[in-house]
Amino acid sequence: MNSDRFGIGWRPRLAAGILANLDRIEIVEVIADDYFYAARQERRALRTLGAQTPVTLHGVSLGLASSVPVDSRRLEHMARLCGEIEPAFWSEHLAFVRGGGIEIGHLAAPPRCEATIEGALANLAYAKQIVGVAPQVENVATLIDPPGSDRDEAAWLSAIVRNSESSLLLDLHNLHANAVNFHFDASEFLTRIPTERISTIHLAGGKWIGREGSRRLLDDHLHDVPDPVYELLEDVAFRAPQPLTVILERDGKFPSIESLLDQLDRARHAVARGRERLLQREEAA
Amino acid sequence: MNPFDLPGPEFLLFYLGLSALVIIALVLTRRVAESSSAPQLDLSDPYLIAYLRGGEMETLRVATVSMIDRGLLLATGTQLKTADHASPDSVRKPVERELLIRFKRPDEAKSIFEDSRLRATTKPYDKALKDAALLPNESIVGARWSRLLIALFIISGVGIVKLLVAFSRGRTNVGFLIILIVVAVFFAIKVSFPRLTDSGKAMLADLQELYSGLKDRALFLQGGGATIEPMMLAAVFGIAALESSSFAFTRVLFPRAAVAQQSGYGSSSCGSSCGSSCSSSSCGSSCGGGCGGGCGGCGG
Repeated sequence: MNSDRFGIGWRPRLAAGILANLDRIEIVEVIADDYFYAARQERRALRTLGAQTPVTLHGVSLGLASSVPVDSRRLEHMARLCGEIEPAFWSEHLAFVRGGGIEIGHLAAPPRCEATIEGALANLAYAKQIVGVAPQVENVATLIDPPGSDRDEAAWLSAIVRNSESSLLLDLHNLHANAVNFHFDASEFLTRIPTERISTIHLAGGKWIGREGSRRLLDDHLHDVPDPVYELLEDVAFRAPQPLTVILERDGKFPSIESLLDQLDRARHAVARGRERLLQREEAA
Repeated sequence: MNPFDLPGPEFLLFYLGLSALVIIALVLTRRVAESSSAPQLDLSDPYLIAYLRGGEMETLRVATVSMIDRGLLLATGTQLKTADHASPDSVRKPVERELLIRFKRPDEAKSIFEDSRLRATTKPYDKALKDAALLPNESIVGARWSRLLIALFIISGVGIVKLLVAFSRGRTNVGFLIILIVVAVFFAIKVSFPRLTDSGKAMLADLQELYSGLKDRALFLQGGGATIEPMMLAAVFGIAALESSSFAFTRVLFPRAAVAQQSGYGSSSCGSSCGSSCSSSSCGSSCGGGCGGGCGGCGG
């Protein structure tokens, strides 16, 4: 339980704050795609960052959850980057991002059906073959219920994680947003997925959009982590005794680094509370 | 063919080529010997980074600017004075404490460079960087000397032998050869002892790359000591990078340093994260790069 670690998504805007506070930031998540075509100097700088603190690589453009095979060129870029940087792990979204040769410009939730499960499993196996290590896979947020689905998100996600070598990167704000927008209980969702396969947690914030009565929660990474997400984090820490890596994501409207570190501390406290509950349950048993 | 039998001009060409080869070999062997993977450094300390970039003078400059920015030193023209409320016990770093003591009586800012006690406070940075092999430590300097001596033996040895051959044959027109020997020795010495090791140069370049986003925002950084960003900017790029009006005092206190490195500050655009991810793949799918919710939210 002592191996939980807490980190922040690397953004150039946050560089000074992150590098000056590595005593409070135990891991840094880098967007891998930003370095696929980067100059040698940029990649070497990333290695230097990796010498200061553990780094993870997070992909955003592979489009693993699709019946279309994953782009081998992008996988090769990922493999090369992983070889150079030697990250703690790498991860990618269970989303589709292109179809018929068209980039849709969004991490879209695929239809939750057998075809996309099989496609995702094939893509994950291929990703492991090329990169050498299977990625952690992340659940995505969606504003529409994917048409063509024949099962809910928990069942779809579980099928992929259980039948692959990938562990789960659970984005709790994505889960919260989906739960709010599609009226399901996020805590109950946690009981239906293989929590023992959760390795990493993403925390982020969002905003409400739309008119009164049809409002939806948008996961935009531009706002502070809301309270329900911390509650879900405590719940995960209670249900998943294995070491967790918790990453705070922020992509814009940057607050002070102190504010981000405070959110990270809140995450630490939430995990500690979950662990405490777990300990009490084990003692009682 | 015995090169020492070559006639004057041909031998000069041969000697020029030989010297160039020896000097190139000297540089390459030093680079290979002194390059290693990046060490772990205390990147929370801007004074350490300033020392890496420019030695004790830079550390003192950045520390002075930091103290003024935090209101602990008061700048009037080119003079500095410790603020009435500032106590040496209120700061943690020796260089800061010594600055507060130094300017209890007003004095010129540039006097910091002549104060041996102030300069002594930077010694731990020197040691830390030498321990990390980013500055040449004793063993690196020893290796540099070894390589240089071999190079000098070849350069000067060949030259001297040719001089002796020339004299033995009654030739005295050896002026160009002597000049070439001196120039070759000069360059061999010059390339042998750069201030930073190859790892040190790489580390500094990497830090400048990692902080490139900060440099892009230099004009908008606020003073007042609220964040460490201005001091990290000054540490990594030099005080000339403090372009915002909050730091106009740097151009009065340290006019040369505040403009000397300006040529190094192009407005290299936001490079890595946002731009590339938004354009290279897909905006929405690359929220991590800072594209935000402009295309339906991140979802990731």
